[in-house]
Amino acid sequence: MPTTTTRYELRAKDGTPVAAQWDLIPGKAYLNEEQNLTPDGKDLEWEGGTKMYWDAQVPEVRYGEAVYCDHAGNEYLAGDLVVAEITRDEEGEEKVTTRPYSQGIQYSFAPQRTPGGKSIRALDLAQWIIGSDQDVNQGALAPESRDRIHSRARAYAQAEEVADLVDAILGTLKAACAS
Amino acid sequence: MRLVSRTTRTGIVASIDQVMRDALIHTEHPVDDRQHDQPIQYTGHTLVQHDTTEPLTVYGEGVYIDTEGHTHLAGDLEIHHEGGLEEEYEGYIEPRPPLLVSEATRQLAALKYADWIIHSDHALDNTELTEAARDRIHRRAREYAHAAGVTDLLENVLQTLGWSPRED
Repeated sequence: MPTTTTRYELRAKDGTPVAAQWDLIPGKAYLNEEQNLTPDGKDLEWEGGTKMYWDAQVPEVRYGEAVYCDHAGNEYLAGDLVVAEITRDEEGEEKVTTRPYSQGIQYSFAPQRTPGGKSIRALDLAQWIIGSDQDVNQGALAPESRDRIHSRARAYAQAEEVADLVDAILGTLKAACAS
Repeated sequence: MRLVSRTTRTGIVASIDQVMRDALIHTEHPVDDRQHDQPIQYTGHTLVQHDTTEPLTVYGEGVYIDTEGHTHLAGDLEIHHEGGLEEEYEGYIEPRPPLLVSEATRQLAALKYADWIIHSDHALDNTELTEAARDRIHRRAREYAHAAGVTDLLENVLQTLGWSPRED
């Protein structure tokens, strides 16, 4: 009976295996219970222990995408990963098909109801656009990743009813820098 | 001498830090192919990167916890001496930025300080901040924008968003 086996690998688009996801863990660094300041009052007097809150971990997120790394510590955004399906037939031949990895991307939010809430979200999405442009200029991000981030920023801005604010912020910054 | 919250007079017992860790992905079975969306399978082992430890900041200020578990910003702390004398104490505050040159860095700084200003107004509306804390955050946002050379950019962004100073 012919046997084929299938296994999966999580890879960067260049084929590099992905080793870990980056999480942020909050911790409480305790101060001395009796005297929480040094005698001169200039510094904190530490107890020496830190309690980590493992249950409060959150993925490190950049431009709305979780951050992963390979064994060498190189960083990858969730949108830059693929799932490789590797099928080996009975003769040992391997066939590899890949598809984009679909997890690790933040969903859009419900539209904010207050002017302040809308402004805060518009500033956030404008930061995605300008920050990813800067990362491309510094060689830290591929242009296709930048384009994906821009597209999602604009799609979320539309869905969250802040597209006009994002455009206005970007237009203002561009005009100010041009002058 | 005790470090306390200026607003509640409760003693400060800890600061909040954050640290990065690697959640290791299973090398043999990195995704769960039994499920449609194939979530990542982790080994359960983690590597904490202790050299990434840094204070958690909100509006550029460190965050501290009092004896009752409530959080306080660095600028809301003060020293109480036994004789009753009170003294200003500033905990961790994000350092003042240098003069920024590159266009993108200047734009990002303007967005950040605009966020401090608008977010702190929002937090005041939600009674998460006092007026004094909001005013302090606004002052620092403007001081830092000046130091970074992005005052005009900041004001333009605030104007674009329809923000104006309040008379509380």
